Amino acid sequence: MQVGTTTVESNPNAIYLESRYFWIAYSGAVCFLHLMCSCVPFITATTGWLLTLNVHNIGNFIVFHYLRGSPFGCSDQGENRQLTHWEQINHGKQWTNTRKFLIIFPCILFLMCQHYCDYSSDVLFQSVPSFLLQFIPKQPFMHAKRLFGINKY
Amino acid sequence: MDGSDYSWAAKAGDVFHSYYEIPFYHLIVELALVLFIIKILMSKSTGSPGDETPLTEKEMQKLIAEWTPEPLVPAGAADTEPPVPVITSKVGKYVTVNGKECLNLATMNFLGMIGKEEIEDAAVASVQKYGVGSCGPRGFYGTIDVHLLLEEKLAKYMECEEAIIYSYGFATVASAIPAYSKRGDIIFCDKEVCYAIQKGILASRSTVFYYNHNDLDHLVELLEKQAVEDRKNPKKARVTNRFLVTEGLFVNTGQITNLPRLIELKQKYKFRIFLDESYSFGVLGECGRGLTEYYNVDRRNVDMIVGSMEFSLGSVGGFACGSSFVIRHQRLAGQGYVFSASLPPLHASMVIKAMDYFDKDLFSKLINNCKIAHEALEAIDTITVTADPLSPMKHIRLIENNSEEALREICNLARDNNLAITVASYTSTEIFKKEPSIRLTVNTELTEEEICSSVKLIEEVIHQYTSPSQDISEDS
Repeated sequence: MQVGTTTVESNPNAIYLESRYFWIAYSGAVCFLHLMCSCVPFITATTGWLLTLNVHNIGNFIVFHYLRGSPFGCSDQGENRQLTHWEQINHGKQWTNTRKFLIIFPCILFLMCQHYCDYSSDVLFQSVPSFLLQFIPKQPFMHAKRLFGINKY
Repeated sequence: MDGSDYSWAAKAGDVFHSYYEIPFYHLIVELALVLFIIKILMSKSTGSPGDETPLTEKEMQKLIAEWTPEPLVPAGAADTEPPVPVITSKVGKYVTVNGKECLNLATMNFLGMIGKEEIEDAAVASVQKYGVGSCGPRGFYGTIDVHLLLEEKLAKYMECEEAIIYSYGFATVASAIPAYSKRGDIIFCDKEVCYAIQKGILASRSTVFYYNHNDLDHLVELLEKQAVEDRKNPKKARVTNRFLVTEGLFVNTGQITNLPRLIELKQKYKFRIFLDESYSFGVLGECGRGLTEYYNVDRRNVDMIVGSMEFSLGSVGGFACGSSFVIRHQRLAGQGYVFSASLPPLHASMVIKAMDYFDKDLFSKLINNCKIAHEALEAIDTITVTADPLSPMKHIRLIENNSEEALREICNLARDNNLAITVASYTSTEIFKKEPSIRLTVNTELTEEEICSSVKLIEEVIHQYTSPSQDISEDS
């Protein structure tokens, strides 16, 4: 996709995230993921929830905070080449509705997981690391910051 | 029924029961998250980090008070602008300027393609077949068979895998550079490159290092500096593309680039070479293939050659040629190719026809004329000539009191004596200021006598200008 006229986004990579249909699809996909995780034989419901949460969080981290650039041939002369998917949302504008949804959704998933696992300490310790992995990079102070030289160039 | 009610109540009891057993730190985590959710639901959307805070009313008033509007048209602008000479004939060997027929020593029509009857016939035939315009970009019903024919012919002639044509010469290099070089990439560039390259570099948003004109030792210095930088930060160096952009024959100085040395440096320091042959295509080399043929180097060492069809080919448009994977990229990423209507088919037909005239005698005649003109100009002791003897463009500067007004006056005097020469004009946005000069061009149509008498006339005109009391003989 080549974009370059004034009527088109210079970088269409993140606009699909703004659609309400995407929000529904995303929620549906996570429900499906939980269904799949619960179907794994010989595991308890608690493990199923932990599996859902961790798979979701790690996937979320990879898609939003690890992969950079855009698959489209943008006319922005490489402006977004170094930015992660999350940083490209709304051209870097913070606390937009899209960002709020994408921050709150994993939080609710985390709370649900704790609730259905009877607030066990083991579950907490096994779910907090992956939760923080995708939660901290979403904060505004982490915008365009790179820790430990990962993904720096 | 009772049983199910009971079990529901029991479950609810279990849930509440479990709340009592939640460890304290667990509760804090949950509570913090819930508070966080509430907070961001309440918060308003703000700008990106790093955005400046909005100005206060007082600051705004201060800025408005400080601002003094500049006139849209600076005072006296209309008076200082030199009148543009108007042409009322074909711009061939002779040209009618302001109603006066002059010998044309200002044209870039190096090979005398303008006015050739067969080329005009080809253009007429093309107009009758395709009409005057194409009215569509190449991707949207703008690709006409003559475009493909021309691309094939250019690629074959330049002995490259593929060629691409643009509809405007200036846009060719200005689109080709930003198609590859992006933000964060590095471009090394000669200081005297033409305006189109400067604009291309600007549009690419890359970091640019200018080296002194044709001073490859300075280039080595810059490359060495960059190599040190790269060794310090190999991770960054791995994702940085390095390009070298230069002209084969500099329109602003008439000098020729030392291509073999550049290729040596390319292999040592690993960069890609984009060579703008707008003025050297159809001029240098035994068969007019440009600088690569002139130095007899393998054309594959140059990553992309950009040329123009507006000078030696006497048509409109530009082309780029190189390996297939380099050229194909431009078909989706070259902005000038993708977003402008394709080359009008008549211009493509003209180029196809004009290329049939390319032969060794023509080029040797041009080079011969260039040498004759150079020798004759060098003999004049009141001017300096900065150009390669092989360059058809000669830049002439007065040794004493060189100014644009003086040169313009000399050009006017020459025109009064039936010789059209021109002052090289630059825009005010050139990156490096240019010394004013008269740009004299030589073409194949001229005979040795005509060149010598023209140069003699220029000498006389300069003499007349510098010491106006003496009269000038009207012998041209």
